[in-house]
Amino acid sequence: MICFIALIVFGILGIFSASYRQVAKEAFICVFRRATLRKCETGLDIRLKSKIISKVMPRFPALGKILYKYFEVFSWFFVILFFASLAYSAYSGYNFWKYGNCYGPQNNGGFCPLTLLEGERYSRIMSQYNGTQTYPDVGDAATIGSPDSPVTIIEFGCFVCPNTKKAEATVQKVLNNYKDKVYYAYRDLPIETHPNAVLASEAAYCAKAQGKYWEYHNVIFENQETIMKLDNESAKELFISKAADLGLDGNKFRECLANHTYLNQIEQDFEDGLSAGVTATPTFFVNNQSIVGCLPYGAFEAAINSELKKAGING
Amino acid sequence: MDDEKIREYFPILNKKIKGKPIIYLDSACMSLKPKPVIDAMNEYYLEYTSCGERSSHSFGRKTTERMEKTRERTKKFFNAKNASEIVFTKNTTESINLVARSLGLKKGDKVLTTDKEHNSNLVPWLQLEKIGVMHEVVEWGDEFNIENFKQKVKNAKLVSFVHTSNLDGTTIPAKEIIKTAHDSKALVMLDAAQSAPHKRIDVQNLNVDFLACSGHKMLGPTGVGVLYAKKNLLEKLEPFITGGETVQDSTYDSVKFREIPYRFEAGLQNYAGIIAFKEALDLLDMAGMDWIQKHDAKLNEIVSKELNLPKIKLIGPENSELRGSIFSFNIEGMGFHEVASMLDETSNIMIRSGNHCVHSWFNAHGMKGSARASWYLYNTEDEILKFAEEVKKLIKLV
Repeated sequence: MICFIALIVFGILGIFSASYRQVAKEAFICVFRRATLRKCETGLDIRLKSKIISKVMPRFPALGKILYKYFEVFSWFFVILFFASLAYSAYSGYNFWKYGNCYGPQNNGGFCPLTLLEGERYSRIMSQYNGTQTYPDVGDAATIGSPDSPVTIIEFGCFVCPNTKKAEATVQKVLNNYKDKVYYAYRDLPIETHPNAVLASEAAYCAKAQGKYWEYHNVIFENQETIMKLDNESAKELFISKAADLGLDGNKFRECLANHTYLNQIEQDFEDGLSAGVTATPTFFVNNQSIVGCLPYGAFEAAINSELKKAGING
Repeated sequence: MDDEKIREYFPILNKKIKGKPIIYLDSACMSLKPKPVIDAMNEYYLEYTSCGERSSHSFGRKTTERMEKTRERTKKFFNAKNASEIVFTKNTTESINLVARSLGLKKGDKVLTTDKEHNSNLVPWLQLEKIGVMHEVVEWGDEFNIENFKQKVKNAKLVSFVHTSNLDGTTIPAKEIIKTAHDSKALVMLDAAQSAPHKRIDVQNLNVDFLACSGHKMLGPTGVGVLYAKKNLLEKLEPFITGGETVQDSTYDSVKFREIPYRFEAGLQNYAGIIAFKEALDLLDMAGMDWIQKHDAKLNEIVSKELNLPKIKLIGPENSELRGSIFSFNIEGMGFHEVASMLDETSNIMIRSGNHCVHSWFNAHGMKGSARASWYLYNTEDEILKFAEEVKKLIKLV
């Protein structure tokens, strides 16, 4: 049975080195013969057995004896363990693809090594909050959908955060698929280190005041890379010109930015985010379930469906 | 002769694997190579690489001269009458095949072998059965039964016996067998692959007709074999492999072969190997074949005493003196490949496992194989004791 493991291990190593290919071939022949109820004749099983026992025997003679006597049993155990971990890894991989974590819809927040392969899915904020955690409400944020919807999704995002931008497509998919069931709000949490982040939030609020929040929201994300590179004054001019492009009143818009009309509101958004336990953008609250980062659609689907189920509605 | 002095000739014995010294106990398959042999091969390649026999420049002349020195040395080693009775081949297998294919055996001719033949001295005769040659097996067992042989040898054309078995190290009473065979007008060939490295062989004293052996088991390089044949017989043999250097003259429809032994040495030869083989024979003579035989017996006595245990199933006679330099065994409850593999992994002890090319014997005895330790002049008592100690540890596993 040890040849099963050898086949997988040396098969993978054989991709990179010809010297392992011969061993992999021996392992394959051995596995094939065992699968057809014949004895392995390549001698690989004996070599592996000898190698393992010879390592154990000098230090732990008693263990060596047990290992020698029950080697086939141990081999079976490790083969089963091997395939079980292989299946579990595949399951984790599927969860990661679908939900952005290794544990599936009921994510317990445990460590998922696969996230290391992909890099960060969120941008951390610098500020910290030590008070009691309170779930956020929609406040004065721009919203989509009916407040009577069974599920409320509140996003805390930063217009200059690449991960918030990445999450936009998923948010759109959610809104399309759960049209009448979701009430969505976007609240500002401009990350301190992102250039022109506060200014972008102010511009969005100024557009909201003129009734074109969501159009302007999209324009900001479309121009995110440019905004990040500009100094404050140039960015301001860009925001004003984009507002004009949408047919907004340029003077009012300029005045709104110059007077920091909505700065207090943005600070309130930020405070509310912190007190809700937000440490990174984007963070979503699906009713009281939080989703941190630009996770796959499946993560949202699972959270929304569970909330709908609680409300007695089929997703 | 001093063990330590002998070991100095073998640089490979200084090698360590994973920090531990090696114990080489597979000399029945391949002997280690002494430095003079390696140097002689290097010298050929570095100083005078050339074709022997055919090129008349100084390199060519030197190659020819050195090769003929080896032939002369081989003649002396086996006490042959003439150097022309020594044919260089690739190995014992080729030497036996040369005789099998060239002796002119025909339908109805009877060839005798023992029941402990290496495939090299069995398969050539089985192949000749296709043309009607009759092959019969003489049972050997632990002790050769000459009376039984006397019955079998009647009407035999050729007796082709292994001199010393690579299976269990036992040796046939060659002189008595040869005399008996000759009395029945049968020719005798000895497969001396295992005997030539370990005991003095005097072909004239034995009065053997053909003798085959391999250089690589006698401290020599690989790819060098010897066929000794009495001159009058060699002259009658048809060349087996023909071509370059076997020919004195040829036309589009005829060929005149060279004199013996060259008519049997077709194509470009293994000059480096043959030249270096002389150094191997020199070293064997320096150590003394009698000393080697005694040394072999002493080591066998030690290991046989140490491993005289219920779990050890010995192949061959109990008397260690009869088993030369070979200890062939099985551990009850443990596979022979496992034994060899574990000794290699745990202590760098290299032995052979399997059926040692004597499938026929194992099949006849319902066995699958054995582990086999075989030693030579460079092995020491300490090494043999270490081998026995490690085998005892393996026994504890089962």
